[in-house]
Amino acid sequence: MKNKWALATLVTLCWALAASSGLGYYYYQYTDLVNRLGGSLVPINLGIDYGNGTREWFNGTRGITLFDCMKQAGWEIETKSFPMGLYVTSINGVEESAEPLKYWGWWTWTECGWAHGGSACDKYIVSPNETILWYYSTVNSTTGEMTPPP
Amino acid sequence: MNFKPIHKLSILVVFTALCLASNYALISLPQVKLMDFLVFTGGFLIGSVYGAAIGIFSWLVYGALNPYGFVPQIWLATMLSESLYGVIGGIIGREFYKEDFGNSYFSLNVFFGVLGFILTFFYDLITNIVYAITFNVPVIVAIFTGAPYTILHQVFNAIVFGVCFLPTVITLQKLMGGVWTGILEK
Repeated sequence: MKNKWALATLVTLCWALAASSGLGYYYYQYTDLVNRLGGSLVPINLGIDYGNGTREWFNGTRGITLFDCMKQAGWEIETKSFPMGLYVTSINGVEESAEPLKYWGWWTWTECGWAHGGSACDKYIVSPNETILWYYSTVNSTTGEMTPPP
Repeated sequence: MNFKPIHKLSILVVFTALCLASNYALISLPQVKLMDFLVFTGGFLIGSVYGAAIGIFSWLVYGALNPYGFVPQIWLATMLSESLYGVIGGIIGREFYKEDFGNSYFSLNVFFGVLGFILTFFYDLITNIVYAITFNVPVIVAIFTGAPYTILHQVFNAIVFGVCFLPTVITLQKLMGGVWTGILEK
């Protein structure tokens, strides 16, 4: 072990092992996703609620991500791009507002009712026949919580 | 170090108890455990056979009384592969004085860090293969789907081995009054 290069080689070996494992993991995740999707777009039940009693449904809208489905439904969408994904500021001309606090948020239907979507719409991979609703909801200024759809 | 068998047995028991206590204390943190480091250190101090025994006895209890469940095949695999740390620790401990590290703490830290990484790589490889065979999953799939956990395990062990091994061994050798094995002093 006199040669420092031997140590450097061993460190590089460790890096190569870790990098190869990570590469294999992401390759497997990718191929698994492609296989599950079967190369086709997934149909979902997509809805929009403007918070004024108007709710429209676009059942059978297809896409891979939620954002794909929204575009497929023909919505006019304005977004801001962030590292974590797209942030929706306006849908079909209805913009978010600071006074009163009203923002767009998406919700997915579960056995327990509406559950708030946990990620940006362009990062969320939809599941077949999933029911998703975009809701223009008021936000509690104290807790920051969005009001769930009725 | 020249210990009597009864001393080695005592050290074995203490290290096994340490492995168990630290494993249960860290049970909520997957892949973050001190057991591998303790088994290796035990093997380094009292030899390969005792080091291997620390690993086997620790898994004998921890594998059987484990809230995540009990699968006999995995249990046997982890017991045997954990003993790898003790065996290699014993071999390194015996051969250590022959190596020339130029009395450099940094080189030694890097060496033990790399050793911890590589040993953990083989440990994870063995346990993943046994898992794949047990649950009839393709081996490649088992290895790659578990990659985030194995990488975390390997990196954590590399850091612990690299940072903690020398201070621990030097302190224990002084504490136990044994013959200095030659780390940084020849």
